[in-house]
Amino acid sequence: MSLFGRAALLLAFLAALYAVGAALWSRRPGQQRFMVSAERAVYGVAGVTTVAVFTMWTALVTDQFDIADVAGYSSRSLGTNYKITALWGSQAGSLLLWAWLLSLATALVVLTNRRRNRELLPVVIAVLMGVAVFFTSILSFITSPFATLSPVPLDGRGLNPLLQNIYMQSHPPLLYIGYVGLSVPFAFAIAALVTRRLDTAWITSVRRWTILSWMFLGIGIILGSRWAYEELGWGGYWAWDPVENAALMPWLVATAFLHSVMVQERRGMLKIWNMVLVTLTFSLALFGTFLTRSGILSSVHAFGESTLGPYFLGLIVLVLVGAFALLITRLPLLRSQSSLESYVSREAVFLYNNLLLVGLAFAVFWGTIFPVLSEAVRGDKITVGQGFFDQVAGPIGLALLFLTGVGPLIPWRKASGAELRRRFGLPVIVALIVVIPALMVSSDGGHWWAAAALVLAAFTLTAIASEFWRGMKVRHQLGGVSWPGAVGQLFVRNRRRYGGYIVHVGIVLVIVGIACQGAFSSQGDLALAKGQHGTVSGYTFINEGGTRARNDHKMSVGVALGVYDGPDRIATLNPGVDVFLAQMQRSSEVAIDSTPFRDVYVVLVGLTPDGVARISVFINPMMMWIWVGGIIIALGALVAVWPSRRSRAPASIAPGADGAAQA
Amino acid sequence: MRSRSRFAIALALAVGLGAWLIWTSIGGSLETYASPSGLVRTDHSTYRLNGRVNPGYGANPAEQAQGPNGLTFVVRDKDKPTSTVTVKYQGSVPDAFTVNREVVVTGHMENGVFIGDRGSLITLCPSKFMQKAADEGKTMPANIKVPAASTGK
Repeated sequence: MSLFGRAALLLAFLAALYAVGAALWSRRPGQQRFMVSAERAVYGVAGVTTVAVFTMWTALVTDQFDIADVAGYSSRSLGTNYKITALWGSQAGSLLLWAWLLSLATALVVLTNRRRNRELLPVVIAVLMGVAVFFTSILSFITSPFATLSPVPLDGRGLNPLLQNIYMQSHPPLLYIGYVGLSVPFAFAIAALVTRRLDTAWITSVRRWTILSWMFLGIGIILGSRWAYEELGWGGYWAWDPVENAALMPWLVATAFLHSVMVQERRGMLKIWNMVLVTLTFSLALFGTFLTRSGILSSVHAFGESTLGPYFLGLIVLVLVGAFALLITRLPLLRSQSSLESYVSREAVFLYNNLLLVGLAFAVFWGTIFPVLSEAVRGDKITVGQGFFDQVAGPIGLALLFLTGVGPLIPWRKASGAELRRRFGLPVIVALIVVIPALMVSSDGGHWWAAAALVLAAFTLTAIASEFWRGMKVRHQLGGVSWPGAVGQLFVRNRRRYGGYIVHVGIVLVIVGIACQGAFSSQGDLALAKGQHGTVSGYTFINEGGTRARNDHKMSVGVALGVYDGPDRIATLNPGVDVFLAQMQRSSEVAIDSTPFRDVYVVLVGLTPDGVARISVFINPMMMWIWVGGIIIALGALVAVWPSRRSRAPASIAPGADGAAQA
Repeated sequence: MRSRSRFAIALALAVGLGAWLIWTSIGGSLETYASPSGLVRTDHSTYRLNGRVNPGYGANPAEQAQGPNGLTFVVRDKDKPTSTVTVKYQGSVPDAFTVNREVVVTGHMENGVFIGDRGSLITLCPSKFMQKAADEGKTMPANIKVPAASTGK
């Protein structure tokens, strides 16, 4: 089985190499037939990497412990679902997943561009298959997922218990889909530069790829946060760890790109900037992988001791130098077709939003690599604490929240005073109404920024609601459609715009959740004998008895806690601790009672033989909205990319029925 | 042209503001990353201590860390195992905390003892790609002390 897997990967490497050569050769006069061959090679790469992945899955499910990764990350007692996800538990396995997703994405690009973008496609294939060559060469010659062990162990070491969780089953592949997807816009950008076809065609072609990749990356980040929240038992969800930052940075720059391409489509501006953003996004996706494999930074996630760092660094340098060198040679072709007419215009707001997003990504980058820089310059490894990230991200996040509300209200080119007064009136009034209660709830700890977040959230949500209302009214009054019909038509006629607004609603909810949890969360520890009660932040907890259990896989203890808010019983929580026998590792099973207003989060620290439960309690206000916001963001993104009957028409010349610009 | 220069000024102001924000934020949050051998014993500045946990901290560290005296454990240097420092810590203890596990704890030196900030203890999660550490883990079960409460003892 090992030999079969290795052969498949070697074939994938050779086919990818051939695809690069054939695609580039097909650009020569009279050699177009090589393009067909290159396309078939792309399908071939997708096929053989699929074979490699299924070989690995078969090895995992059938306990082939002669394969080192199976022995290292699976065991006989591991559930089949976790055996499947153990594929990306190992370094080589995760790279195999990346290579597989990349090959499938490239095949999909070829499939969907059989009758369009024919001039761009050879370079697109060369770039994507070039990246595939990189991954398959690493998998074939440096770190093979099919490396074997001798002698063969009787059982495997098992999957880390912390990874035996639904969120960790889905978090890595979703992140990788995001990373891989972001390589497609990069490939199209390079193709546009090489072929000098620098109009908006390449942007239009990758719009859905970009939005979906951005969405998957975002869902991956949110699921990773949810995993940290439920699995690590510290009451938090984000710690500005280098590995977390590694996923956030490309997402931030991709968000900037999603907005700035609209300026290029609409006004023919920011062409160079868009090329820079798409290159940075892809480079940062690679940088995240470099961080986790180089061991240059210390992280909660110990990925160190790997020798792959230099290879990834080499690829990043190649991408940056190659892309920027190409960009410089094409600068004369990338002149803006128009200029900024007013600082109070939609395009100006997008520009501010871009500066803030890229600025935030830079600050996160700076804080992440600061230890490396300080060690290189001063000899001391100086790290920046969480305080740095909070202080930078707070004000920038508030400014972005403000722009999220302002953007849709301001027209393209320039806005008249009367128009601004008319559009801003209601959102400003609602925001002013929220000021007093927001200040009241946040006055205790002096959390002015949480109050600001609530006020700006009210402003932005009202702005979005008024945009929906305006669109519906136009359709109802002019089109003679019913009110429900008008809502439906908004999405049918202009999915991208209204899907974008739904995404904005999700972003607002996420920011509200983050701000409230950061400002108003509280924590307390209790030691309760059976029948005893204790109070944390107004909630009373009663120990109603412990439980103990053991099977072949793990030992478990737990405690039943009655939770009261005043005289009312609001929940029964059952926090526990498992000890997984294969690794003798402890894993807390957190218990959470979640409502729209707060989470009661309980960790069982220990249970003594005489039944005394020692618990940590966290009260996290508005936590639910972070996860709900994530779901809404995903839904909005799906609405935005959903194909419509009019999707064949160029989006840049398809404004909404109310004549407003696309957002 | 006038518009362009105004734009350039606005952009410069925005970049300047951002740089100021980063500079002032970074100033107050610097922590020296150090192993036990790199700690300056009389220094009161903030460190992020990194090393491996020595045996001998007693049963159920999570419970100890919640107690009035906190958890006391010894961290040894990854590269120079003879160099050690005693750590006193209160707050949550990650599940992965165990003998030989690599940890990072933020705090400062006081009378030759490293006083960890509450809740700052993290263990390097042996989640992925850590063959070397995982190999060490293979020989670890004999050394691992399973918390009494967890085993039901």
